[in-house]
Order: sequence, then structure tokens, then C-alpha cells
Amino acid sequence: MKRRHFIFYTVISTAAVSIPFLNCSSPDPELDKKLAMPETLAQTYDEKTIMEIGQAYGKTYPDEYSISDLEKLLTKTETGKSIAGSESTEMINSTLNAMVKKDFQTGDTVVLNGWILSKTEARQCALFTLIKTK
Amino acid sequence: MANNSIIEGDICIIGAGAAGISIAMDWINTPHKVILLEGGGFEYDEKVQELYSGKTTGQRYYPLKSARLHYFGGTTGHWAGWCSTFDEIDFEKRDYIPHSGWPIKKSDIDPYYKKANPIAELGPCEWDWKYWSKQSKTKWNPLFPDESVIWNKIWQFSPPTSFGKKYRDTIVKAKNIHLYTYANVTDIIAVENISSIKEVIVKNYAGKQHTVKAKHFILACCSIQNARLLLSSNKQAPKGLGNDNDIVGRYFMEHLEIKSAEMTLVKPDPLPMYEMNFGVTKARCELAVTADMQRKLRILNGTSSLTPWLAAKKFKPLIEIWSSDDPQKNMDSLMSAARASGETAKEIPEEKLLKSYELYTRIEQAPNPNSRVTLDTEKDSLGMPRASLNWELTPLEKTSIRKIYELIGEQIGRSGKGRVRLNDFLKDPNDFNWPPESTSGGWHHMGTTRMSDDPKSGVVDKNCTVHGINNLHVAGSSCYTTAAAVNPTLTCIALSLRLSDHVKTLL
Repeated sequence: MKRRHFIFYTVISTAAVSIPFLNCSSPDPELDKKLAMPETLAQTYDEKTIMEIGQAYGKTYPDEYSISDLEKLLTKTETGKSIAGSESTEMINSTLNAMVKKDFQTGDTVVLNGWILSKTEARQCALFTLIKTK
Repeated sequence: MANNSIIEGDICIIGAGAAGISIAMDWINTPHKVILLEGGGFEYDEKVQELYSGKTTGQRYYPLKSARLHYFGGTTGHWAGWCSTFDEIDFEKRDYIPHSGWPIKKSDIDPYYKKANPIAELGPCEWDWKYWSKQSKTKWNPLFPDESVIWNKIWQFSPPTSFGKKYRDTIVKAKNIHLYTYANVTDIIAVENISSIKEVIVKNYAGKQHTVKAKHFILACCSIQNARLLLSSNKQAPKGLGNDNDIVGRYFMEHLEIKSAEMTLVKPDPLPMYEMNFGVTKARCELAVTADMQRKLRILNGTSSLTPWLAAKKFKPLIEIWSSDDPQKNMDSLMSAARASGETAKEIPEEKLLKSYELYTRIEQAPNPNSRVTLDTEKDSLGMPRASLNWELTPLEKTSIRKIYELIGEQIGRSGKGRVRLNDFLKDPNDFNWPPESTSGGWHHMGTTRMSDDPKSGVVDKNCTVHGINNLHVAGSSCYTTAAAVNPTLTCIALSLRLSDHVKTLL
């Protein structure tokens, strides 16, 4: 694993440690940890960039910028079936990656501080940022 | 030659750049006497170059004095040699681009591209990337295999051919081509009812003046000088020759060349299909938007080149590099910047260098009547009013660039290969300003004597003959109705050869 990726995933783990503090706003902290992994972006950019994107998302979509709202939005799949915290990380990644691809296919993209992103992955960045900064 | 000499021929070509030399060579070994007039000599001459000085207003532009070269061979003397063909859509009337639509189609020029290719010392007249992929030692993998949205447009690279050096002997030795250097045309004289041209007046620095008479006259001095000469030939037609409808000088167009976005890849990739190694690469691709998608998004035609980001970011915008009145000084700065960029690239480990690419735009400027060449009150040393250029862009150029990169961003995201980030000047969709420190042109001057079937909307007709003046023709990119995405030289040569064929039918 590249050092950058290692740091990124470590951050995710660190966030998981602080989950008790998030309980008031997050129904499922374990799920949040899995949702906040924009896989392609994590392989492309460093953690600072992911957080910059997350903050830009918060500024553009303040109504969505809470852990509970982002969790709701990210777990809602196209088929209507919700992503559950009990699913494996791999399974959740796979579902989210498919959603990201679909976003690009259908033009459900956002331009955040210049980055052209799928809405799903932008939300993942926002969730990651909130977890990291709380 | 004695003062007040009269020179006579069948055709008189005014200007010995890419257009004028290409036409002249097309007449070698014909029974016709061709007079080729060049304002400069065979080498750079400061005094002659000074005749190109002029004012600029509007969007920041290069000093006019150094944006063109005034000697035999013209601006090919510092040409980079980038060539590609126009697309079919470039000739179409596009309802979202005011003043678009040529009176000819690409198929009218295609046969002349075949003739133009060897003149510019290019490879075969093949413009499909698959052909060039087979010639390449490295495997070409397009970024987007599905070309329904973004396709791969081929560029070919001339050595580059300096027309002055390459074709000097050919022209000088040709028995029926009579080249006159240091022969600056300062006036065009028409017959009384201005339906044809009788003669042109030539002046030089020795204070001599001569008259050139011919059956046909071809203006081939480049967009700014063609307009300047027509406008200043105003003794018989007060608004200038061919300018009854106030079109001469208007619709000046450039190609916008600007650093636009950064593409970061998941995995480093050398992308050989898009690589450009000056002097070595014979052909490469740029990303281009399909015609259908251009129509759907209502955008201008543009392409995007890819250069490793860490090497490209040290390369200053062209508008900053090319800021001197002295073309040689500018060229030295440009080459020095290119070398520095290359050296930087060598020092960076490949995995880092090939992870991120600068996306650089080349895009047509929308035809704009307010982007124009006029005459200044100040005169040059031969008594000609100097040119004044007002370069003016419209919101459509910026909207188009932004949409092109949103599209590329979506495609790269869809492929899972990486992501794109727009540069600062494109971040706000409601900002239509152009940063003067980074908005560059390609030194491509086009459109001041645009082509149209209607004299009210164009200076020349579909044969490049000035409306209403049956023996005055214009060669080169000043005839372009729209600018297309690609550099103008190859099409300039092709269109000039087409004009040459037309004039042959008139003799």
C-alpha cells in the first residue's frame, strides 16, 4: 500500500476511534467509516485534497453537510435498497463505486472549487471531512 | 531599377509568406509571368520589421511588431510547424455561433490539403489516429476508447519548414516567377468604377517608387496587413477597397491558447499517443469534442493537449513570454522556457511526472465584428497608416472552454482513470473575464477579409475574390469565416492553392 493511501486509511480508522463523540448525530458510526472512503479519489489525491473537496462540498450544499444527512444520502441506492452497516467494506465500496460510475454516466456531477466529481464521491469527501474534523 | 519603373505580368502576388510562396510555386512552368512582391529581403531587417508596429486595445495582445515576420518566407521564419485539418463542423452555419458558416465545405478544400502536405513537409495526408498508431514504436491507447463524446484529433508536425530557406532557390530559379524584394505595396489603384484593379504602387527605402500592372492581383500579406492595405487604399473608395459594407478589418480572430485544467491519474501513464517531443514527434493526438456534442452543448470547437503537469507548470503563459517588440528576443525566451521545462521533466521521477497532466486549450474565437483592425492616425516610414488592433473576446469562448473540461472531466471520471480540476479562471461559471496574465493567442491572425456569398457579410466570395472587384483576390487566413480549433497554416496553404487554381481558370 502506498504511503499516501496508508495515511488516508489510517485517518479513517482514527475517525472510527472517535465515533462515541459522533453518536449524537450519527445513527451508525461503523457504517459512516465505511462510507467515507472515496476509493478512486483516495488513490488519486492526498488526504488534504480530499478534505478540501469535502469542505467545498459543505459550502456549496450546507443543507446536506451533516454526518446524518450524508449517511442517509450515501446509503440510498438506485434500487431503493439501503446500504447497511453490517455489509462488508468491500461490498460497500463496490456499491459506492458503481454509484460513482453511474453519476459520471448520467451527468450527476458537481464542480467543487474546480474539481469535476461525481456527486456520490463528493459526498464521501464531505463525510470524511466531518468525521476527521469533529 | 530606375525610379518610376513599370513592371508588368499576368498575376501579381503581394506578399511572400506561406500563402504567397505556395501560390507562386503553383505557377512555375506555366506560360504566365508571375510577379511576386515581398516587402522585406531574404533576412530579418529591423527597418522593414518596424513597418508592422501598431497599437493594440481590448484584450491584451502581443506587440504587433513581433507577432509577424516581414521578410521572404514570412512568419514561417519562426513557425513551430503544427498542422492539422479543419473539421466539417467548422464550415457549417451553427445557430449558436453568430456569423458562422462558410460558403464552402471541407470537401472543397480536401483535395488541396493533399497538395499542401508536402509543401509543409508533413507525412502522408492521413488524419486518422489509427493510421499513425501503426507507425508508432510505442502502443497508442486512447484515454477514451469510445469516441462518441471525446475523440482523438491528429496533428502532424512540420520540421518546421521555413519557407524562406526551403523555397528561396525554387522561386529565384523559376523562369516565369519574378521576385522583387524590398518592394512594399503602399497603394492599390482601381479602374474608375472600381470594378477591377489597374495597378499597385510599390515603395522602398531608397525612396524609389514603382508601378506593377497585372491581369490579376493576389493579396497575401496576412490578416492584419491585408486589411491595412485595403483600408488605406482609399483614394478612390473613401472607406477603402472592398469595404463598401464596412467589413474589411472586422472579425479578426485568434486561437485562444490557455492553460485550463489539471488531470490527475490513478496510475501514472506516459500517454504516448498525446506526447510531443519537438523535432522528433511526427504526429500526435489532442482530445477533441465530437461535432454532435459541440452542437448539443452549443460550444465552439476546441482541443486539449496533455503535458506532464510538473514540467508544464513552470512554463509561463505565451502572452508573458512573447512581450518584446523584438521577435528574435521573444523566440529566445520561448526556446529557453521550453528547454527549462524539458530539463525539469528529466529531474522528476517518472512515477511522479506521469501522474498528473496539464490540459491546455486551443479553441476557435467566435467571429466578432468588434474584434477588428483599423487604421491608426500615425504613419510608418513609407507613409502608410499603421494598423491598430482591437482584440475582443465574447462570453462564448469562456463558456465553451469550461464545458469542454467539464466534459473531459466527466469522461475521465467515467473511465475511472483519474479526475480533472479546472484552473482558477474557469472555476466561477458566472465569471467571463479573461486573465490578462495568462490568456494567450497562438499568433494566428484570421478573418479580416472573411469569406461569404453575401457582400454585406463578407469581403471575399467563395473563390476568395473581393466582392465587386473581379481581379482582386485574397489568399490566406484573412479569408476564414470561422477559425476552427487548429492552427491555420495548413489550411492557409490549402485555401491558397485552391485560389491559385481558380485564378488559372480566369486567364
